[in-house]
Amino acid sequence: MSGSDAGSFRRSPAAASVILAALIFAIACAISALAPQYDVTLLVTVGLSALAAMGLTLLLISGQVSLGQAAFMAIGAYTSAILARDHGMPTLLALFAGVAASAIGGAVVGAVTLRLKGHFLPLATLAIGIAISAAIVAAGSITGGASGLGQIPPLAIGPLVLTDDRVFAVLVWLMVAVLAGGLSRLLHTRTGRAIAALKSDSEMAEIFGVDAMRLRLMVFVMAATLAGLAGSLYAFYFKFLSPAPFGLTASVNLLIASIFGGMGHPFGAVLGATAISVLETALQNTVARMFGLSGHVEMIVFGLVLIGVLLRWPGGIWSALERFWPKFTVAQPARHIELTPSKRGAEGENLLSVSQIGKNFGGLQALQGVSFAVGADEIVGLIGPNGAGKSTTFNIATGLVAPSKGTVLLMGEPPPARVSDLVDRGVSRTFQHVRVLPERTVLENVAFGAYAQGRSGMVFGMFGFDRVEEAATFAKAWRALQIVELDGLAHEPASRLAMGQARLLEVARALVSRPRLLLLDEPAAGLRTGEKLKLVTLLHRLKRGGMSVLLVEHDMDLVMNCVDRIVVLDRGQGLMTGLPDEVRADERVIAAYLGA
Amino acid sequence: MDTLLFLLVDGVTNGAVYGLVALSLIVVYTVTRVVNIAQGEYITLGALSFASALAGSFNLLSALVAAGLALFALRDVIDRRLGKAAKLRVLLLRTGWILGVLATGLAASLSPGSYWFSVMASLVATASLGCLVYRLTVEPVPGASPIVLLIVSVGVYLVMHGTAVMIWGAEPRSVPPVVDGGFVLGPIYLTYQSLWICAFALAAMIALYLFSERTLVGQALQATAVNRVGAQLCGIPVRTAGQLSFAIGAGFSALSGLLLAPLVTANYDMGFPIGLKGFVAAALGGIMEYPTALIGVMLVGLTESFSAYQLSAFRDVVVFLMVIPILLWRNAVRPPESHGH
Repeated sequence: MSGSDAGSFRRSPAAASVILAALIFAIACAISALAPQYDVTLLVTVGLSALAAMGLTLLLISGQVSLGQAAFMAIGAYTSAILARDHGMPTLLALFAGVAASAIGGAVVGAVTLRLKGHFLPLATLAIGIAISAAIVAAGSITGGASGLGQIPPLAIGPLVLTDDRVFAVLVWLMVAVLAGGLSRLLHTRTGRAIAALKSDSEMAEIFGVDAMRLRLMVFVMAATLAGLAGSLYAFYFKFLSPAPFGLTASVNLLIASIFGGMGHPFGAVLGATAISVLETALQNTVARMFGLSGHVEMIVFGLVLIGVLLRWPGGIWSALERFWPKFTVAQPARHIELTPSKRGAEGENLLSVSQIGKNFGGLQALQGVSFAVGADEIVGLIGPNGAGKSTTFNIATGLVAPSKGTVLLMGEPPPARVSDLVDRGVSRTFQHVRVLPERTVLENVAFGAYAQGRSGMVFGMFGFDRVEEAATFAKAWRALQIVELDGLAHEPASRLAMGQARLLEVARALVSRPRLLLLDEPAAGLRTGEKLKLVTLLHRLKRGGMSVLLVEHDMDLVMNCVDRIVVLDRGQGLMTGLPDEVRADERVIAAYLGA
Repeated sequence: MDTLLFLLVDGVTNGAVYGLVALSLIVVYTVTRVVNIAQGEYITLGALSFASALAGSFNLLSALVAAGLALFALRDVIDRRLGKAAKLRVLLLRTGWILGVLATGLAASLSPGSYWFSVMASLVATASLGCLVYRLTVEPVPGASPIVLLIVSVGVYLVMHGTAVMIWGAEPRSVPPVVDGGFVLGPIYLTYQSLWICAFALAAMIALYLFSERTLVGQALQATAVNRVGAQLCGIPVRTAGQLSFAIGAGFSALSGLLLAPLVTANYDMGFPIGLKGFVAAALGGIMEYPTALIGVMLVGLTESFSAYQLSAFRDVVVFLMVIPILLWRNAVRPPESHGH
C-alpha cells in the first residue's frame, strides 16, 4: 500500500512543490551567504513581499480580490513593534502577537465585507486599507505617526538574537519556502479543491457540503495572517516603521507581484515578487547609471514591461512556465472498493415526501398543491411540459427555494437550513446546466464530491497529513468513474469533455458523495442514444445498490424505460401519479403534452 | 454659519470635479470591465496640456497622439482584409481625425491665451489618447479577467505618469482662471471659477445623459454595458464601443483636470488622488449607474471638506470608512453581478 502510494506521489505537483521549495531556499541561502550587504536587504524585502503576495494569490484562487493587503502587514508590524518596544514583551512573543492581531483583523474585516459581491469586495478592501494607513498617521501618539516609530528591538528566538542580517534573510526565506511549498501542495487537496470551487461556482460547492461563507472567511484570514507575518518580520528587520510602506501603493504593488508572477499558483507570488525586484534593480543599474536618465524613465520602462508581459501571458509568468510543472495524477488503485449509500433507510420510510407545496413568485403562481413521495429503492420520474414547474419543485425539494405553502420532508425531517448540510442528510444532485471545475481534471472533479466525508483542513493539506484520507477519496473517485465508464478520461481537464460526458461526470461526482437519494436534473439532455442506454442501465444498477433516484427529464422513452413511478406536472399542478404504462395511456397527459 | 456655507461651496465644487472623474470611471467600467487605475492620469494630462496650450506652446501630447493614430491607421489600412472603398473610407476618416488633433493643437499655439482653443486642443488630444490606450492595452486581450485588466491599467498609469514628467517636468504650472474674481452672496464670497466648474460639470453630465439616452450610438454603448455578447450578436461593434468609452472617459477626466487647474495649479502629481476620490464616489454610486454616482460624489466632496475642518487628522479615515456601510447597504438592496465569467 505504502509502496504504490509513494509511486503515485512521485511525479506529482506535491513532490515538485517540495523540490521547488527546497531549491528556492537553497538559492536564498547561497545569496544571503555570498552577496554584498545591500543585496541581502533586497533579499529580505523580496521575501517579505513574496509572503504577503502569496496570501493574495490564495485569495485570487478562491475568486476574491483585496486591494488592502498591505494594511494587514501594517497591523502585524505595528502590533509587534509597539508590544516589543513599549511594553517589553519578548520579541518572539510579540511576533506571534502581531501575526495573531492581523489574523483577527482579517477575521473582522472578512466577516463584515465577505458578503459583498462582485466588485464591491475589492472596493471595500481598498477603502479599509486606506483607512487603516490613514489611521496610523492620525494616531501619532501611539504609532509615531508620519514621522515613524524607531528603536524596535531585534528579534530573539530563545538565546539567539537575530542581529545578523544574513541569518534573518535565511529565516525569512525558510518561511517563504515552507509556506509556498505548502500552499502549492494545498491546491490539490480536499480544501484546495473546495477553494477552487468557491471561485467557479460556490452554489455547486455548497451542494457538496462546502460552507462557502466559512471557507471564504478562512481564506481571507489566511491571507491576512501571511501579510501579518511579513509585516512583523519587516518591523524586526528594519527596526523602524513608518506608514508609507503599508499604504495603497504597497497594496497595489503586492497585487502586481501576485498577478505578474501568476495568479493561479502560490509560487507565482514568489516569482512575481522576485521578478519585479530584479527588474527594478536592473532598471536602476542600466537606465539610471548607464544612460544617466531620470527615475521616470525607469517607471515608464517598468510599466511597459508589465503591460507587455500581461498582454502576452494574461496568466502571468507562471502560466508561461506551467507546462514544465507535473500534472496532477493519481494512479488507479489495485483493489476494488464498493460505493454504497452512506446509511440505509428504515424499511418503508419515504426518503423525500412533498405534500401540498405551492410557490408564488410575486403574482405568478408557479406551483400549487403538488404532492408526491420517493420511497426507498425507487426511481421516480418527474415530467411535464416546459413551464410546468419541474425546476421549482426540484429546488424546493432540495431546500434551495422555500415553498410558499406546504411541507417538504427529507429523510423524515424538514430540509436543512444550510444548503451545505444537505449532503450529510444523504442527498446529492446533478445540474441541468453542467457545473464542473473546468480547469481541474475529471478525476479531481469527481473527488470533490467526497468533500463532506473528509476532515483534512488547510494545515493538514499544506503539510501532507491528509495522505490516507486522500488515497481513500481517490479510490472512491476512480470507482465512480468506472461505474459511469469515464475512467479513460480521468486525467483530462473537465473543460475538454463533451456535453454527454460532462453529465456523466456530474453523476459520478454525486455518487462519490454516497447519497441515499440522488436527484438528477435532465441528465439525458445532450446525450447520444448509446449514452442514454448506458444511463438507463446505470440507474437500474444504482437502484439495486440501494439508492433512490428522482429524475427530472424531457426524454419520454428514457423515463418510461427506467422509472418505477411517474409524477406528471402541468401548469404548476400535479396532473397525475402512476406507473409508466398508466401515464402513457392517460388522456390528460397526452393532452398536456400535445396541447390538444 | 459663514464657515459652514464656505465648506458647503467648497464641498460642492470638489464634488463636481470628482463627479466628472467618477463618470469617466463608470463609462469605462461598464463598457469594458476595466477598473481603470490610470484614469487619474488623464486629469493630469488634461490640466498640463491645457496649461501649455494657454501659454502658447505647441503641445507635445497632440503630436504624440497624432503619431500614434497615424501608426494605427497605417496598420489598419495594410492589415485588414478590406475592399478598396472601405480602405479609402478608413484612410479618410483617420486622416481627418489626425488633422483634427493637429489643427486644434496648432490653433491653440497660434493664438496664445485663447481659452476655447486651449480647451479644444487639450480635450481632443486626451480623448484620442484614450482611444489609443484602449487599442494598445485592452483590445489585444478580449477574454482577460477584470483583475488582469486592472493590473495592465497600473502599467498604463506608470507609463503615462512617467511620460507626463518627461514632457512637462516636475514644476507645477499656475493656470489663470477662466474668469477672475467673484462676488459676494450673502455672507460668503463665491469665486466665478467655482461656479464655472459646477456649470461645466453639470453641462457635461447632461450631455452624456442625452448622448446615452437619445442617440443610437449612446444606446449601443449602453447595450454593450449590459451584455457584451448580446450586443455583439446584434451587430454592435464591441471594440469600437470600447474605444468610444475610453475616449469619453479620457475626455471627461481631462475636462475635470483643466477646470480644477486654476484652483490647485497644474502638476504631474495632481491626477492620482483625484482619481482615487472619483473611484470612491463611483463605488458609492455602485459604479454602474449615473444618477446615484452623483449622490456619491456630493457625499465624498462634502464629507471631505467638512471633516477637513473638523478633525483633519482622521479625515481620510472617515471618508474611506464611510464606504463600507454604503457598500453593505447597496449590496443588500441590489447586489452586483458576480465575477464568474
